[in-house]
Amino acid sequence: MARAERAAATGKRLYERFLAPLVLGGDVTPGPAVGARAAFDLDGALAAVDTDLRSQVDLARVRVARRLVAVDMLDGPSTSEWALAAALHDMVHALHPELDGVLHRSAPDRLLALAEQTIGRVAPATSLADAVSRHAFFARAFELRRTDTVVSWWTGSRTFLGTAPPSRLLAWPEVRRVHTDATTVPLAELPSASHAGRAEHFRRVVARWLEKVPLTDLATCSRELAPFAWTGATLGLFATPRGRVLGLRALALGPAADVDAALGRATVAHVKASAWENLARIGDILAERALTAASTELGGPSTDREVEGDAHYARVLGASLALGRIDTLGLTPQAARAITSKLMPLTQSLRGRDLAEVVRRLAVSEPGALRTEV
Amino acid sequence: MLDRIALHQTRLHTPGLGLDAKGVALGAKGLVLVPTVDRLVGWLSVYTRERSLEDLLASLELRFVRSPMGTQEITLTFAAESSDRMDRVAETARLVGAFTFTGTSRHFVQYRDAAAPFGYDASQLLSTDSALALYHDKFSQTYDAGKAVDLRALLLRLMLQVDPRTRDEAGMRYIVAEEGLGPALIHYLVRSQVDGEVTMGEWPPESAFDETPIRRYVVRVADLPVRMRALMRETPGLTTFIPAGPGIAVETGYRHPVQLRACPVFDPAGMVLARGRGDEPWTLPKLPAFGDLRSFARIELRSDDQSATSIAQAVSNPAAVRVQLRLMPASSPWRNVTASWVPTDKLPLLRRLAYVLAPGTLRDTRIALTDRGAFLSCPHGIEAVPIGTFFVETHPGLFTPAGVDVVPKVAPEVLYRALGAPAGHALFISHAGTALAIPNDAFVPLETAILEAKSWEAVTAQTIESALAETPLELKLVPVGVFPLAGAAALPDDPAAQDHGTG
Repeated sequence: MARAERAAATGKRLYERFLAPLVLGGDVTPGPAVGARAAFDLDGALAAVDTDLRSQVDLARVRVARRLVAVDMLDGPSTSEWALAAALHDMVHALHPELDGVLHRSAPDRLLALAEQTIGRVAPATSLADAVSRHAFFARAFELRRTDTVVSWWTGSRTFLGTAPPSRLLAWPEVRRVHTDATTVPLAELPSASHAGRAEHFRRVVARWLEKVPLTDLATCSRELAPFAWTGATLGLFATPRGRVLGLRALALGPAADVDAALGRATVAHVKASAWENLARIGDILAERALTAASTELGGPSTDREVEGDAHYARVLGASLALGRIDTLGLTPQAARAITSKLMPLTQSLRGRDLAEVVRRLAVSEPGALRTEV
Repeated sequence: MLDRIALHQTRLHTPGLGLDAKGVALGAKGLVLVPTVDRLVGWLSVYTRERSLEDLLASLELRFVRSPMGTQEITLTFAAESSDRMDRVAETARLVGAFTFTGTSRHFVQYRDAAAPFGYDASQLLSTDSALALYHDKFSQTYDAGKAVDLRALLLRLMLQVDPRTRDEAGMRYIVAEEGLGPALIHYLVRSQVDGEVTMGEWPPESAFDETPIRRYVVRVADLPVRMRALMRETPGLTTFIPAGPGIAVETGYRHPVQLRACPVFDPAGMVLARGRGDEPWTLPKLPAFGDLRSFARIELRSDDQSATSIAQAVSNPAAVRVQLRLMPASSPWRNVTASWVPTDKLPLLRRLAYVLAPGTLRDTRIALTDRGAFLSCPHGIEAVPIGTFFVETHPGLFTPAGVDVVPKVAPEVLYRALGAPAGHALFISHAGTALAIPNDAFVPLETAILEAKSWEAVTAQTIESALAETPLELKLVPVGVFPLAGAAALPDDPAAQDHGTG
């Protein structure tokens, strides 16, 4: 079989069994492995995909994208998106329980390495359209879950990981005293469930993959797998006014307290490293979130008392920086007073006083060159 | 000798002086020291301008006092009760140049002022047998008690002040007429149809040479017409008074220097008529009974030459005069148009119109279908159903066409009675002059009358599925086979061999 034909078959399989369900929902069936070389040959495979399925996927992607920006059409998978899909496919496939067997002990690591190689060759999203398009494909990646079923009967039991038990085992349930126990395992727990030794490797590859999909990274920042960290991709997204809007909208998709906790956790690392250029930009984001929260909570009770830890850190830092910018926003005196009264308790808290020095430094610094390593 | 009381100070030297809830030094009594009578009158005048003396009167005592140097002053003592009352009294006293003190029996200290918000205490008390010892920041003085001053007598001794504005005051008037003028005054008032009451007052003779008491008519007029006021005021022998408070009236054209309404010292059962020009007031200790003015009107008898011709011999019913009911166009605007009559040939139009009528109109309008057509009635106005002949409800249950008058113009109830409609019927008078009686029971709500019942079909409600629900992502695994990485290959080492960045 020629290479082009193989690529078309692989692309068709990847699209129909992995990428399309990832967008539309349903059964996501990874495997066999794609590999780094084939990942970049899939560009022409779209022609072989069912047209009806493509239109459904396009429609679902527009729905995802419209949560961030008003677009009516998104192009099909580009070469980068094919490669990112293949990398994600190989990462998920690496978690197959059978690959942890005696015969294939090294296979998961090789697969993860291939995925890492693929990701390394994919260029970062260089336009907002590209970032939105990638997010439209992979927005639900962290919703993946596997259902493990334990079937027990009067003489024994058997566990089925990610596969449905055969009907013969479920026959005559009362006579054979069949008992079925289904457990849902989210993607974040899969490495520790079947590949405990490779959890860190898997997390690292996922983190690298997330650098290529910054909007997905922000929209799922409260995830457990590969915890959120400020990267060059995410901070670069906020460097442009429209990217800033998209990024803030992506952050607004998650639960506010969890998002603040993730942002606070990620910000602490930069504060400890005294990365003031990055912190200026991060502070701008946190201040914007604090102002948005204060203005939308006007007239309603403040929920800040229920927030602790990292989330409180992010809110206090954001509120302290926002307080210094109220005069520049052109608000009416009443609105300015109301927002100030919302922000003031945060800035006057114990943590607010601790962060006063950081706020003072940030107040005089401007966003500068990014430091991705902290 | 006087010390200012400090905040939270509890110990005081002056006997009978304590601290109230606000911490102000207060004795059982308040005392105002007035140098002269005119200052006393000034105090009364100012105090009664804003508030009544009624609460002070029970404990008020006016008395002349004499200092060891022989100067005579007036004290006004009363129950202190609260610093609020004392503050009011002290403000007035300050205005007229009097001094305010507080104490209980003999020793009185200066009441609080701006310099000492909690009052004063006398650190050294005068040793004296005098009735009063007053301690002020400017002086300390003992006084011996003199004779008491009767407030009522004082008020009556005050000269009335000329005030022409009272001549035009509306309201009740007392007119005192000398005995000779009384009957003429009464006749004048009765003839002028002025309502009032009259009584006769008796005063002792002015000199020992007079044997009979002096009698005067006292007329009480609720509202003396304006045209009579000058006459009553200027006629010698007639004196007009305006009530100035319970039991006292002041002559028209004068004003008492003190607000007498605030000084309830006059017996309401009696009457004091205070006169101007320094004349002695006329006092009636007890008001005699008043009688209606008309009871004292002059009586005249006609001659007694009655003839029998004025007595009727027989009675008979007058001849009947009946006229036909007619309808005439009216120029007055339409009012209370609450019914309409839709002829039978216009009923299809009513059916079409029902589709565009407002819900309120459908709900409130009632309809009676008869062989002469449909009669519509709506208590809020029938203009919302713009067809048919409009009717005005001139009487409950009686409707006449809008824009016409029924002649002869008899009262609607007379017309309703004359038509003799049975009870529970609505009468419609047509343009032709005929009357139609519709039973009230025939009127039903329009919304129930116009709707045709449709047969119905049972349907089963179904759960609405959310259009935006997302199917969960379920990871399904398939066997990996013997060579799970068979097709997976790494990229060539030279990254420059192919540039896959898309941007």
